[in-house]
Amino acid sequence: MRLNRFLILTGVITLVALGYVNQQNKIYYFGYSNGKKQTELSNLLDNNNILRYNINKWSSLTCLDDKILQNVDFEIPSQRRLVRLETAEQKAQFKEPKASASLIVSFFSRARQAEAQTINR
Amino acid sequence: MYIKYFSRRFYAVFFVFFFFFFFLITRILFIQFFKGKYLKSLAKKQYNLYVELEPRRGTIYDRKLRPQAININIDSLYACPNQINDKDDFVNKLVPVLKLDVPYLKDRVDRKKSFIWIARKLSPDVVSSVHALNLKGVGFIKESKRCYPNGSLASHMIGISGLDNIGLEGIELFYDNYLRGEPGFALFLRDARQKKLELWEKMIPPKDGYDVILTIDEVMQFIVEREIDKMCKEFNTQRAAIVVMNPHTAEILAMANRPTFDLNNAFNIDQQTRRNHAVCDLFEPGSVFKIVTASAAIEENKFSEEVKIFCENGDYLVGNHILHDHRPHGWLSFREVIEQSSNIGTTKIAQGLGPEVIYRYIKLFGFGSKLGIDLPGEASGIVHPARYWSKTSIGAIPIGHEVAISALQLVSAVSVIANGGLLMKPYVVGAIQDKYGEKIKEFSPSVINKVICADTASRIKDILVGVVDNGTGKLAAIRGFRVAGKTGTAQKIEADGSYSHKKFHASFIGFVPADDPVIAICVIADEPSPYYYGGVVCAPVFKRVATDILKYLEVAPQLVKKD
Repeated sequence: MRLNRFLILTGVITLVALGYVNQQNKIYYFGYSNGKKQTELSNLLDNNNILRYNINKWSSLTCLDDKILQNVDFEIPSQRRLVRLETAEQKAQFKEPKASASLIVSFFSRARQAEAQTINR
Repeated sequence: MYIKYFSRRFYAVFFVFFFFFFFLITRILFIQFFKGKYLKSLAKKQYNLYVELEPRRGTIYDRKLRPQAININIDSLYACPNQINDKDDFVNKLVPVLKLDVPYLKDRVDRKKSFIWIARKLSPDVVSSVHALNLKGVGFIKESKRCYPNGSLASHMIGISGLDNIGLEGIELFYDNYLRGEPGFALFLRDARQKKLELWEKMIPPKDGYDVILTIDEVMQFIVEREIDKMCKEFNTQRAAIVVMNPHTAEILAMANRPTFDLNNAFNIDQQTRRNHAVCDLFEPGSVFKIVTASAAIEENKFSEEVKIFCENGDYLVGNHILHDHRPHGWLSFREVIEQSSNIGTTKIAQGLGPEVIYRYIKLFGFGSKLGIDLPGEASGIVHPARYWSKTSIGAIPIGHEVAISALQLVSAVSVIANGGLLMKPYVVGAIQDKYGEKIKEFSPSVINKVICADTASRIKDILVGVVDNGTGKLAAIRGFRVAGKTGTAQKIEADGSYSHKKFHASFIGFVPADDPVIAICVIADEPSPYYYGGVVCAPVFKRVATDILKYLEVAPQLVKKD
């Protein structure tokens, strides 16, 4: 009876000890695997930051100026255009040529010229 | 008898074992209670590792949240010399990749240490080249490096931070307390080989630095930097500065200096190049200073625009000094004196006001004291009180000599006229936010003092429009806009104290559109050649900068009726 109790007690203590050792092993195992994942994650984040930095750098105006615009005088396009309107007096001074009576003659008239209309008015 | 001997042996053995166990238990109790703490601390040292966690330094953005300075993690290379077998082979393989000197690397590797740095903060392609060598006894540690994607853009304003991420100049220094953050720490577990595990007993996370949002616009800054480069190339100028400001709020929209430097390679650059000339350096302004005299005259009601002043045909004795105009004039109106920038006419106006009045308005315009911009090293300027003026000072100070001012003070002064008479405190940081975008602090415009009334400002504005339309600033005219401005050409002082006839300081200040100003600009050039007049050197630069900025801001041109 006493031997049985002794054996049971020893068995329980051994199991608890083994359980504790296993727990410590698992802790260190998770520590290693966590470390690997942490390294991978930080590498990915760092690469992401480096890529974002490179995108900002290469798309910056200074870099574009260095690479592309060395021989070009860059100018911001104007949103508007100033157009000087003719006054009535200026219009009166200018005499328009009379339209030719003959249709055939009008084809050969100097006053007739092709007009290209701009897309942006 | 046998029993008697048996009892004695029994007790003898019993006492031996008793003393043995007594000694053991005493020892155990002694170790547990008296040496327990010490042994625990030894054990903790072995399996715990105290690591300081570096905070992320805050990012610096322009006003449209485009990053100007960011931190990225970069590998630094270390070596364990006691783990390197063939040191010569090690050095020969690393030298071409890292581009280091052989004696330097050999000296480091030969040291009897377990850890040495070989190279800090390497670029990714160098890191991959070192990885490819597959060397034993080396490793990489991530370190944070401050990077500036725009290189030299706004370099003097943004400034630099050192290897340990502490601000050294510019915004990096002035707002270092916000940008730096607070380090944290963690107690990591270590295994039997002293390798750090990603498990911690205790951790206080680091507090990342706050982000700073500047008032400058990257596009406007680029326009200004491009034009200042053109000016320096065309007129052989070694030093120049351009400041663009919102005249109503005093936000600095762009600030450029020459010479300049790349923020990513700043540590080999000399101090003079890294100096923010627009804020820290002083110069005699010359004729641009006449806006002070003119404003004082109108505000004090001593003169009106049509009052006639005789300009002595180009020569005028003041004290024991003969004052000259760049071109002889006879009778000019007050307006024409400023438009044609007559020194004699301006001196006579100043004589009519008196030194005390002139000095008062010089101080009201912010000269001779700091404006309080949030950049380090601001110069206050040199302005002598009226009681120290000599007999010739009345012919010098009102026309911009015998005073020393900065470009920042000049642009603030012209903004007084643009915004209706208020001297505003200039600033370069609009807000501070945390990494989640929550605003921690916002900066708003503040008035330093009222200089002149709105009516006076309006009248001076019209006179300055005349400078551009009819006077010395014609090259600053912009089609479709009314431009107000003033040119300046100041002789520099030689080593012997006399004014030079070969070295000049050219300048132009102005704002546009004159009726509802959006931008105020100051352009200065030090020793331009072969031309040195402000109207020739700086006025065209003003025109080009203002034209592009107005287009960028989509400011509609005003249709001006031509007489």
